[in-house]
Amino acid sequence: MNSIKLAYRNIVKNGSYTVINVLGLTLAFTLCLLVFSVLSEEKSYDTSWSKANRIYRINTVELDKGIEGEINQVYANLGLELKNQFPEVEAAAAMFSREIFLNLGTDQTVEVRSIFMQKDAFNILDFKIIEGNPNILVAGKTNIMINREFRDKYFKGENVIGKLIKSSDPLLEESENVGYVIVAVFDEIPYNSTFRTPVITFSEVLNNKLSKNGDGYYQEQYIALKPNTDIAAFSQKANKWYKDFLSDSAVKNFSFRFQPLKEIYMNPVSHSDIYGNEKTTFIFQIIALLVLVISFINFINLYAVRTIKRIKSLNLHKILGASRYSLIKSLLLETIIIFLIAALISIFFYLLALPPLESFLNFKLYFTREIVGSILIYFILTVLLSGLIIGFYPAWIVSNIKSSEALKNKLSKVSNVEVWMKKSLIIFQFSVSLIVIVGLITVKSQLNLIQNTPKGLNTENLLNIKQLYLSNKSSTIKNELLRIPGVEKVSISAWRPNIGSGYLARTVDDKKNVGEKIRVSFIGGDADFTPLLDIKLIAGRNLTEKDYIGHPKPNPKFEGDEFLNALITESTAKRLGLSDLGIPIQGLDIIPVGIVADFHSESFHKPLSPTVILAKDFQEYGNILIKIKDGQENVVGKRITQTMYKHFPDKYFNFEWVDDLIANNYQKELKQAQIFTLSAFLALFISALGVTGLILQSVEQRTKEIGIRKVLGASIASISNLFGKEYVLMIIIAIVIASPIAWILANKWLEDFAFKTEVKLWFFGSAGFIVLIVTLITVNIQTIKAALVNPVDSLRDE
Amino acid sequence: MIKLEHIFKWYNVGGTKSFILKDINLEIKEGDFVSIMGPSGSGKSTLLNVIGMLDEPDEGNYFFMDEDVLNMKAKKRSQLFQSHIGYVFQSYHLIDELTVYENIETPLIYKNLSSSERKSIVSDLLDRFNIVGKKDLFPAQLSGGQQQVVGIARALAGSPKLLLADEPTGNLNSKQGEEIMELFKQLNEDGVTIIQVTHSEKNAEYGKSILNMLDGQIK
Ligand SMILES: Nc1ncnc2c1ncn2[C@@H]1O[C@H](COP(=O)(O)OP(=O)(O)OP(=O)(O)O)[C@@H](O)[C@H]1O
Ligand SMILES: [Mg+2]
Repeated sequence: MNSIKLAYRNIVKNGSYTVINVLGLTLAFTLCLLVFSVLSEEKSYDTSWSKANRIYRINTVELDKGIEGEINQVYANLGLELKNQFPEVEAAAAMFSREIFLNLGTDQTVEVRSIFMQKDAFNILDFKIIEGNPNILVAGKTNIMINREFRDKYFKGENVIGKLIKSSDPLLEESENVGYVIVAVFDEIPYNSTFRTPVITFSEVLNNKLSKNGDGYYQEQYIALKPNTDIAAFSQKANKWYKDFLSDSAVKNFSFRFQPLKEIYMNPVSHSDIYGNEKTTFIFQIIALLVLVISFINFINLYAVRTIKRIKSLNLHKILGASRYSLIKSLLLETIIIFLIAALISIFFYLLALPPLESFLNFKLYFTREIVGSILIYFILTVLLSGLIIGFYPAWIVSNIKSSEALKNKLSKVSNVEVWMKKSLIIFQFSVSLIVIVGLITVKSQLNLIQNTPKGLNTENLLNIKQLYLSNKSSTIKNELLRIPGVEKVSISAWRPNIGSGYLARTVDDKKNVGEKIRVSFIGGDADFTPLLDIKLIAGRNLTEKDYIGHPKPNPKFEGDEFLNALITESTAKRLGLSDLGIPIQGLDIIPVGIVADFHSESFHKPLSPTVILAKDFQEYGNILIKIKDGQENVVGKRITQTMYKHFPDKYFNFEWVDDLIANNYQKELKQAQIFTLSAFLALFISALGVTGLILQSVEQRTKEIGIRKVLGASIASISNLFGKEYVLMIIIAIVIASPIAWILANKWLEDFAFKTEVKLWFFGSAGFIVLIVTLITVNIQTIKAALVNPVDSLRDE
Repeated sequence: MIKLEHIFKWYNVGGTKSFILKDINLEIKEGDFVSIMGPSGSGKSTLLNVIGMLDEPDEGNYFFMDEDVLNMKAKKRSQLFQSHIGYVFQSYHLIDELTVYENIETPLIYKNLSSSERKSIVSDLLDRFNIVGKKDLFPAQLSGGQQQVVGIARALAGSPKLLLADEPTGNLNSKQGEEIMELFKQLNEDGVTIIQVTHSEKNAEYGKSILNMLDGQIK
């Protein structure tokens, strides 16, 4: 009781130190709690399935030189075939997400994420059916299961089993839009699953036999293995079996990888729509750790400062009979109290920060909220433990100092080490701030580069109606759209910016590097396509309507051996060793008639892919790209919609601004920029706190000196200088230490980009400048305050 | 009670030993009242510190109640000393963050006395030294003389067998000084052994014997 009172009094008496400590620790604790929540949420993905440890996705690993890579699909029915071949496979099913369009009555079409599953999926994942029976298939319609929430939202109070729902899939012909029948209602799939979905569509196994020629179409497939199956051995066996299964003439240039379901969220391979971001999480983690270390450093630094001031009184306690144990106990108690105060405040901040964090991350922390109670209990325990650890060493040292020296309040031997320690800790803090600021500058200048580099195509005011079935009305629609005032150009195409490098791809041998292959992407639009996108013609001629061929079909493939007239990008021409226009290129089955300037068909993360542009008359399927005149963006929307509904009253149209689609590519980086901005502020703030603490101390120690100097006529500025000088030196040392680390990390971060900014010298210069300014301001606030004190007051002390 | 044999204490100043205590031999019996006198810098405080084991000698033997202090485990030594000795310091050494009341109470807490026992002892002392009105003030709010009084009250709180007082009256007016000396005399008669350092001949007279120090030696 007595020691609590004492501790309390000390904490209050050293108010400014306490505030600095609590503030720094609170920030660090809050950040750690938040990061821990994100981590545990992400780690929890797909772990709650009863077979979670033995569910795998089958990925294809391409081995061709030049185009190695991994995709999250394999040839249809491979999983089933494996199940037939190997007793280890308990279940196998294709499962993949897609958008479906449900017409829920007049004018209410909803686009929902659904997961298509083969029946065996019930033996892989766990579902709780609360209504109906998914095992009774209704023929002639697509069977769907909806979840409880979806039922309650759209069919409140209705009996939904057997209910028919019309489909408004823009990609389907009216007659093909057969619609859905609800056969069951399931309880929510855990939110922390890549399979979370309101709707599941399913069907029997398709009758596609696995091809012996090593071709076919791709599907995302999962298997569940029997318990205790050695996955490495199984993987080897399965791959060997498949090689033998293929006919001798088949190309065997790929293998399979069995990716554990639990890892998919963080390593999505190809980006499906629910996935985490390892890099962002990692940056988060590092920053939380650094902030924690910095605030611990502050704590230890200030602790040392405060206790040295108190060594005398601690020793008096000893002389009056206190045991060393009781001294340590009371010192620790103070630490613990400060840690606990910080912990309690940070719990408050944490709970406050969860919702904004969720919207920042764009996913819900469901799992975290479920276990928030135990997180907080563990948190408090961890804080207590770290308080004990952090507080013990200094308490141990201080409680052991010899009495006679302590009474004189002089610690000549310790102080050199002490000063050196303190300085290196401050230098460490400065270095962290510098690294984070260089990180921020790097991210920002990369974003600038993305913004300001010409893309080679013009997407300004470009509206797209996402790929849809046009039932041969494309020319009519195009002409009607063109008649709307404000519409400048219209093109119907099989590709739009940002959908990938093309709508299909072909592989040819690389003549310059024997043994390697080049994958060439195909982009196709009507004759207005290149002018609409402002793609620059360098040589030859543009494509015209005369270059259209035959009658295009849905999902156009190459017709026979016909060669198509095509445009080719400059870099592609170079890579293919194109000598002249007009000469057919075998393997690509095209005749280049013009060369266009390179353009970024994808984000800056990807290198320019070899690209060919074809001209086709897309009568049945296509995107409708609409270039709108400047300033007319808000006016034309209604007319365009009217035109579209006139032709397809029941369809769902997906309007998208192409600029938005492109911006979406850099969501991740924009978020990281935000994280960096926040952390730069945090790091600066906390090291400013640290500097404040130390300055307070030196000012306190040197009050008398300041007083005497003032009596002798020193100006306020010269007194400020006295203190500021050593910090400038420390910042310079920090720059020397931090720059190489920052350089390496910045370049590491930039590795994600094929087109990237250089890490320039001024990044470091301005980071140093910012730290310097903040530090000098901090130093001066305190020293000027000290220098303004009337010398009589400070000299009367003691 | 106290037996010092060939006690030396020195500091290394610029490579050479500067002796502060030179071959001190001293015996003090239980019930003694010794006054130590001598010029400033002669080593009086140092000797007192050695006797109270706040400082260790560099050479020599020290027996306290027939136990060899210098070869004793630190823990046992501090138990032995802190339960038997009360200290009054030249520069008061009150605990800044404790009130007058709490300063006096502290040694009792470490003796594990119950709070009611502590309360009666402390109130007694506050009464005796006429500082009841100051009990909730902090040392910084007291004059030098008042702090000295509190220091003495604190030294007596634990009812020590040996009282070590380094210029206990240095900051007091002569009337206060006299009162303190009377008190010491009374205590001594009650059986408390006292060693005091003083500059005042008059106060030294209260002792049963006087030791004169010069340059680290007893004359
Ligand atoms: N840490 C030290 N290093 C060097 N010399 C010291 C140290 N501490 C004390 N001394 C010296 O020891 C000598 C004796 O000091 P001490 O405090 O015992 O003197 P004193 O007799 O009590 O003097 P006063 O009457 O002024 O209190 C002094 O000359 C002092 O300079
Ligand atoms: Mg002295």
